[in-house]
Order: sequence, then C-alpha cells, then structure tokens
Amino acid sequence: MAEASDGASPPRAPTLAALAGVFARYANTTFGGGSATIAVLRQQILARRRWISEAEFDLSYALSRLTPGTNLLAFCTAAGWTARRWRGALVALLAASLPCSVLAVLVTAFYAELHGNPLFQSALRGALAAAVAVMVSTAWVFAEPHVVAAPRKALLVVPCAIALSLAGHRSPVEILLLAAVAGLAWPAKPQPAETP
Amino acid sequence: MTRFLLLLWIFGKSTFTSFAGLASLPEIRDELVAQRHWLTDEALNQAIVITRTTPGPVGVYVVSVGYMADGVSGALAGWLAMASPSLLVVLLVGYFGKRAQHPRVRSMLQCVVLASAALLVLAAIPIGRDALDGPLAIAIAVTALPLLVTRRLDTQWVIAAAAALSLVASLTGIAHA
Repeated sequence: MAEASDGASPPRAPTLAALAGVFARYANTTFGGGSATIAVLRQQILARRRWISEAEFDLSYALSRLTPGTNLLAFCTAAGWTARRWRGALVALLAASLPCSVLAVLVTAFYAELHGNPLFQSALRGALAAAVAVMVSTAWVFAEPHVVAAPRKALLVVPCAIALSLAGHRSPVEILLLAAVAGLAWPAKPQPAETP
Repeated sequence: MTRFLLLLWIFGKSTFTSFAGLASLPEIRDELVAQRHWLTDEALNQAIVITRTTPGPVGVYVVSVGYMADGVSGALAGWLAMASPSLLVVLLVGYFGKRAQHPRVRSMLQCVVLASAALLVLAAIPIGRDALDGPLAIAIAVTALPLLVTRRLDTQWVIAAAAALSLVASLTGIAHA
C-alpha cells in the first residue's frame, strides 16, 4: 500500500546507497513523465521512508519547476541535497538520470525491432493509458494539502493558471513565475507555532 | 571530439535556457535539422516517440538525439546537457530553504505548486487524446484514477497491471487497447 507513515515523525537521513537505490529504481521505471515520477518518489521518500519532510518536499518540487532543464532531475537533485547535501544531490542526480539514458540509447538502437513488435505496442498502450490517470491523480496529490490549507488561494491560482495557458498562451515557466510573484505578494497565514 | 563538444554546446545552450522536458526542442531542431542537416525531422520525431515509450523524464529525448547524431559520444553529450542544469536547483534550495517558514516564501511555494497542478492537468489532455484510443484504454484510465487518487495502490503496480492487461487482451483478442 502506498501511504505507510503517520506523517508526524521527523525526517531520517538515508545512506547514500539507499538513496541511490530508491532514485534509480523509481525515477527510471515510471511512465507518465516527470510529475508522475515525482509523485512516486513522494510516496517513497516522504510517506514511506521520511527522508524529507512535507515542507521540504514542497520546497524541492516548487523550486525544481523554476530550474532550467529537466524538472524531474532538478527535483531529485534538490531532494538528494536536502537529505544528504552535495553527495546526496550528486548520487540522486546520477541514479535518476543514468539508467534511463542507457535505456533511451538501447531503445534508439533497436527502435525498428521494438516498434514493429505488436506485443510491445500492446503493453505500451496499456501503460500509457494508465499514465494519463497517473498525471491527473498526481495533480490532485500535489495540490490537495494546499487546497486544504489555503482554499482561497487555490480558487484564484488554479483558474488563473488555466486561463493564462489556454487563453493567454503563456509558457509554463511564465505562469509559474507569475504564481511565485503572486505568492510573495500574498503572504500565508502564520502557522500555529509562529503565533506569539 | 570536435563533434562531441559542438553537440555539448548545442544541447547545453538549449537545456540551460528551457524549463521543461521538450521546451529545448525548437532550439535543437533549428541547429541539428535546419542549419547543420545532421538529423531529419523524422529522426527528431522518432526521438520524441522513444521518450514516450520509455520510463523516466521526457528530457531524456536529448540523449536519444545525441545518439542519432554521433553514437555513444553524442549520447554522452546529451546526458551531460540534460543532467547538469539540475545542479542549479541547489542554489535555490539553499537560499529559500533557510527562509522556508517565512509567510511570503510559504505562500510562494503554495502558489507554484497549485499552478503546477493546474498545468499538469492541462498537459494530460493532449496525451489523453492520443493514448485513450479505445474502450480498453479508457477503462484502464477510469479504473486507475480512483485507485491512484485514494492511494490504495502504488503507481508502478497500476502501470504494470495496465500493461499486462492490455497485453493479455491483445493476445486473446478480447479487446483492442
């Protein structure tokens, strides 16, 4: 089952070998692109293993969306850095990027054989159909804590992001930067611990 | 070596100035297809199809393009260009991490995550149009969604089960996914 943590225990620093194992296994085997993979990693490094906290996950995810390049690799680097600083960042980045790159080279080399194989195509169609559900569910898994904590923000930000994309034809990074500026201008309510 | 460095430069300037997997594509197409004629549009499309058929980040298409352009050394240039921009996130996490409890920073993170979620749903629409091309594919997606939202099953089990179901349906001729 997916959620095993009570969510209250403090983060535990992983060994570099454990970090490499989890990022290699889950970042290189999930269909549906970066966000779907991040959702799987969230289950593993936050809910199941508590290597980072919920706030650290949000920080890593949000900033990875504002970093040049591939968002998933930026997330893995940020999460690895949060757990084990520079060595963790490098291990997570290598573990998340090398196996899928080798696989991409192999599939490129044997493209004609694989794509002419009807069994491969059938399995792939099923995996891609599930990946659509993964993408939609991932959006909810990421948004849910913030919809609960800041419903008014969610009611404003989500429709604005959709409108800017569909009607305004703005790029994702422009929309995310606008969201960041809006967030800076509209401070969150103090958390209970911060209240004097 | 010269071709490796040139590919590293072309891929690097594309990935360091783009903010999502395929956002670097126009720059790479301009350099490798339109200007240098090292690749065709068909080969570039093939690289994109390959990233759809392999797990992991969409940005890995750069590795595939590099392999097409210059074999293993081209793939290495693609990997370096794909992976290296990610190290910049450490600067951002280092800066904002110290201020993560500040109400404005927390609000910024909330807004970025919410906007990301909205963009993710929008990104799923064209992929859904393409992937949900028959009753079995639609049934798989509709069944998988509540299982994933309620987190009753890990994502990988859902994807593996969907692939196996589609394969069995194809082998037995029950349905066309």
